[in-house]
Amino acid sequence: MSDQPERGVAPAARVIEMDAADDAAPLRLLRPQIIPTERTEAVTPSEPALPALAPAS
Amino acid sequence: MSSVVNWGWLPPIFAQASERVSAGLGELAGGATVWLAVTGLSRSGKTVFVTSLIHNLLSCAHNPNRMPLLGVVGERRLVAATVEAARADGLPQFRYLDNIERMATADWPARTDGISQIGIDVRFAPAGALGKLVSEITGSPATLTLRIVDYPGEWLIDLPLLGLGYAQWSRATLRLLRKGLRAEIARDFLALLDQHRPEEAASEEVAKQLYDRYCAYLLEARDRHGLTFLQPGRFLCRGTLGDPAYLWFAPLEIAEGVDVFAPGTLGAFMAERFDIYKREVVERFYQDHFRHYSRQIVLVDVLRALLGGREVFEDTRLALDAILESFRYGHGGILSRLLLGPHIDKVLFAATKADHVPDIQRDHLAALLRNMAAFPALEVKSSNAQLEVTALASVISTAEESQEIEGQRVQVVVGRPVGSKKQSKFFVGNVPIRPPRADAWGSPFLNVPVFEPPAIDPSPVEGIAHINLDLALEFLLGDRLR
Repeated sequence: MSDQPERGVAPAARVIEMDAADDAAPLRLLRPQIIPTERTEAVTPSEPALPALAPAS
Repeated sequence: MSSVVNWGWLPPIFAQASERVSAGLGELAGGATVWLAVTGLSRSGKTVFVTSLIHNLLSCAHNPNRMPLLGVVGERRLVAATVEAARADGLPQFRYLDNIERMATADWPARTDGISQIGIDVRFAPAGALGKLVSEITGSPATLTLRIVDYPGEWLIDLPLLGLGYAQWSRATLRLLRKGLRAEIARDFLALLDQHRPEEAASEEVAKQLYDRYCAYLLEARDRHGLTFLQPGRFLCRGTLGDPAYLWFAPLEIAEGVDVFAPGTLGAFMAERFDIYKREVVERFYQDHFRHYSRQIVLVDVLRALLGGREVFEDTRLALDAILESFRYGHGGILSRLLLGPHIDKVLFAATKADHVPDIQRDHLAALLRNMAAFPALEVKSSNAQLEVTALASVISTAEESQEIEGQRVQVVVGRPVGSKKQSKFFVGNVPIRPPRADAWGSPFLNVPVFEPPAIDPSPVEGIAHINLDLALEFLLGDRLR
């Protein structure tokens, strides 16, 4: 089995032993950024899942 | 305000209880009013919040699925909501129709810096047995007039001034002004200030020059750097105040221990104007307007504060602490001597623009807001308003996607920036649930994108996609709509 999870799949929990060299490496956080695209259409909003109401009786 | 009975002759504690009983009976008989005040610091989204709230309430009769978590809608008890005719009581009418039409053209409403109001009549079937009985006897549903007042949060930042003299305020303001980013922004003002002393002869011309430079600093701090703890608040958001001469003051360099000034000096001149400002502007707002409100929502752009870097974030915390003073009603506080009788009993602090954060991190936004200010200390006192915190988007202008950045697959939001023909993805980074440690701050990210609104039907039929607007209203008004 490969150590690399498929892209888009959350890795399973595990314990990783660190040696001294790893310990010194700073945690790298991704910076906020804007990524331009070539798409031009208007965006249809992603609404959070909400309970749909039953039709009025 | 919510009662036609005059309870003013009773001691405050009895008057307050009696007004509440009276309001409850009024609702059952139809015709009660609840004042919902909406505020927030500049660019926190007040105008869009009120517009979306009204549009979604009006649309609920056609599309109840838009607000399912508002009890009166989810329980299918809402009969109708309509905009009340404009009132001739002095406050400008909130421009709902203009705003919704502008949003329908994929643009946002213009910024406002004053106070406005609008009434919404909500007719609904009562939920309780007594309410149902009254409704059946009268043959009509219950009615609640929701009077929404929109005013700048900058005005609340002025409340702590009432506990300060001019000398104290000057020293505190200049201490802040000589540090970090503020010192840079205020350098023109500080250069002029160095040429003047409180002991010199009073001069209208000097006062005006100092005031003009101080205002220029406040505007630049707000508009170019996103700072929010800026006093006096009316220097930035005047409303209908105009530019009367008593506003022309600014802090002076005053030595510790000096609190009074010889007559005819610049110090005495400025101190007199500061006192007039407190009396005519700050106190008057609380006595003429604020005391009528019973429910309040405070909108906070937490995301901009977080991305703006450590100084902007710490500045927002100062502003929040100042705003929280307006909801401490306990004995001995500034408010206890200003306001008697009923007061705001529910306050919701909402982190806005939640649609700029992927779904998985939205709860972090609310948690971060909760941990930014002294909310827990306020909650333990029963005399204070009941507080809640949420993340909210009055309008969802983004969709969720994923993106690979530096080898990592991450969640992003995508939207079309206002004025652009192409979509952009926005990766917000990590939203922590607590204020970051001092060594965890990176460089400021000031270009938070402004995405155009989605397609909106200006007729109140479909409503507008939102995040937690219905939950927010349920907290604020759910009990009054039962």
